[in-house]
Amino acid sequence: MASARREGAAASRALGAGAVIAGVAVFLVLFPVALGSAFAATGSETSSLSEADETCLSCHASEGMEKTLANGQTLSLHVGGEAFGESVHVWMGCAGCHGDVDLETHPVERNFDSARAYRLRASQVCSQCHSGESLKDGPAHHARVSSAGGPACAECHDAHAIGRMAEWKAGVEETAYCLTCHGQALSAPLGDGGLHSLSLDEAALRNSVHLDHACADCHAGFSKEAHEVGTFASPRERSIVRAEVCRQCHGDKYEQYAESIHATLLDDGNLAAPVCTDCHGSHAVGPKATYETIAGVPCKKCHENIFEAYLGSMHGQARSKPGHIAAPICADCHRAHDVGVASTGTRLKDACLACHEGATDSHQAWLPNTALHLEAVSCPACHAPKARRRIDLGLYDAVARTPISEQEGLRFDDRIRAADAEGDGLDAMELWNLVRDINREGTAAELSLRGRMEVRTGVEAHQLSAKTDAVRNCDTCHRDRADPFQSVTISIVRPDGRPAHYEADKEVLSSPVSVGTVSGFYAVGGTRIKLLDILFLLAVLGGVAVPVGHITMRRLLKKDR
Amino acid sequence: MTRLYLNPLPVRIWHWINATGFVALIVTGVQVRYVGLIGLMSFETAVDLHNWIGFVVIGNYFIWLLFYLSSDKVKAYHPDLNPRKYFRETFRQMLYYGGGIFKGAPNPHHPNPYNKFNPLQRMMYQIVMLLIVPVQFVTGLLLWDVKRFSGAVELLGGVRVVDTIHVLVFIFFAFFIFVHVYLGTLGHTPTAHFKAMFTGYEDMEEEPGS
Repeated sequence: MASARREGAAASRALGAGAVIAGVAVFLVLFPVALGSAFAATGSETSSLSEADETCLSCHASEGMEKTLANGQTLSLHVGGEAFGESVHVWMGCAGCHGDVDLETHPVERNFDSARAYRLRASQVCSQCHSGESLKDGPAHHARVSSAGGPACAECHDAHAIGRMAEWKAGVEETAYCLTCHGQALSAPLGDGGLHSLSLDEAALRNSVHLDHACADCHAGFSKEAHEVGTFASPRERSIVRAEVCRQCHGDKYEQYAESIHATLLDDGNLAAPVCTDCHGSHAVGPKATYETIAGVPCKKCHENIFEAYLGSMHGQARSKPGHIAAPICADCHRAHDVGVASTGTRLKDACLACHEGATDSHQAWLPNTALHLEAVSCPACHAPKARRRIDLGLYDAVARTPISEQEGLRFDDRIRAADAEGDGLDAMELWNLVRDINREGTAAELSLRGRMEVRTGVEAHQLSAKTDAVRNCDTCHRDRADPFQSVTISIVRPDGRPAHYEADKEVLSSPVSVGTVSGFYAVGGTRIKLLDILFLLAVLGGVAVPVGHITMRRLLKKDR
Repeated sequence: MTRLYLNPLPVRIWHWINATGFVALIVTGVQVRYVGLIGLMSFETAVDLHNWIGFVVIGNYFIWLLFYLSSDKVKAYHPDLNPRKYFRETFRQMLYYGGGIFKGAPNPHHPNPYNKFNPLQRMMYQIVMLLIVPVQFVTGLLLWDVKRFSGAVELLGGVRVVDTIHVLVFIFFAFFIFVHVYLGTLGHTPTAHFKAMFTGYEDMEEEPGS
């Protein structure tokens, strides 16, 4: 690092103070001998340097001595004589590492693609004494020697001012010690030949809310003295295991997370399900407010399409305006840690009503059967007027009054495929038979179907419009062949809490047999039973026919009196 | 021709409110059920009217109920508790409507304030007033606020079951009201029963030989 910083400073000077460098160059050309002697004298202040070393330093001790590489980078050729004199390698002298330099032919024209290429090549010299295999025994070097992406020796230890590690460790802050390597390009090899980055942004770490924590506070098993070798099958597995450490301090949040659909999915083996660090970052952990902004909300990383829909909604538009933090963002409805399944339960409706406190009363003012509507119709079904709607008939235990879960041994997926032999969606009779069979077996306490109008996708659920654009015309639903009743699904709650949907024929909403199966859902006008319409027509015709027939008979038989 | 006071004022008030209410409920019910096919009024208006009229008819029902419970006129529904006689008279009344009436035969039933219904009316009106109408009231009330009465709705099998019962009774009344009006024309003049339901007095024809 020290070397890197020095090199960076040289580069700055080269770029920013060209005139100075040019002056030095002229100075070197005009007075080589005198200057050489002068610098040699300076270097010789360190008595441990050999005569040969002093000879090298007569040139290389010159501040600003550098070389421009093929990629335009500047490689400093400056060697601090005093620092080298104090290094652990001073006994080797310059030739100990630079044995290929022949003063008769030096400098030989050699070029390197980059400064890093040069340093990597130089590291090969180090490995003559510090072999790769021996370094592997030290975990701190494991990644370095296993990966082409690891830092070169000099990038951590410096090229010439190489100190005693024990002394250096004792004097360096722990975080700075870790950053010596992890602040640089550092990666670990993966089984598939790829690399997993182990680098971190020091500036981001320094700006995080965890600034006061030492690395080992989270990375147990790591210190100046210890450095575990990871045995994770994948970087993802590593992230998941490492994220467990967050619960040490954030136990309450972890408990909430453990109840979430995210944790459930993870427990079920879905490694894509997020853990703490996926949302909060590993090292650049920001304050809570960071994750409550349009720019910083982490949910969009996985739920991109839904977030786009949200941005277009009245909530998203309001939140996007500066200072409008009252408008909800993801966690305000879905919660930050105990994120639930959005399409089951009443949590989201409750979230709507928590902000829109007067909503129940304002609906009550015009909407008949308000409580029923608020239960059987999801908020977006009316407040996302452009969304496509459908009726979902959820399996329901009529006795326990709870949704029936797949985990209760129903094998519903198999059953429904067996019942829907043609694969075109369950029709009314198939549904009747299915419910009858399950109830006969007694697998569930008493199976029934509870209907709910909802929008078809999560994206559509977020296309909320202004209140004035919401559906308020009753005819939208309460009429024959209304749009929401053209799509019907049967659903059961899966073990992970999410519903599994199965297509059903729209006829299940208006068939006479549905009185027995879909007894818990009815929308007057929209899902009326056609057989009752025929009966009504016959009743009216009969009501007219009886008097007409009777009158006719009376008149026909009048002459017989 | 004699005049009998067959229809006391409370009964007449109840009857005409009930009749008007039934017609209005049928009309608004049809509008609620067949939005898009019928455009007499908006769905919202039809629902509001249906609900309000429903409560009026329910309240009105108690005029009828309390009157008969507190009056000896309740005997009109059970003039004598003799099943054999009841069935005999019922059969005779059916023969009259099914045959005798076409031949000019006299109506076998001779009403009086304590026996004003013929046996068929007695049976039908009791079924209607003590069973069918209350069923319609109860199902209508449940459908008016399904969540408020969710326990009862669930007990009956769910909202669709309740609605189906309500619609079946509605279909019955749609038929009944035609026949009821027609039977009202079968007095000694086509308007005799209607007038009696306004004035309370029924003109009775003298029986030959009486």
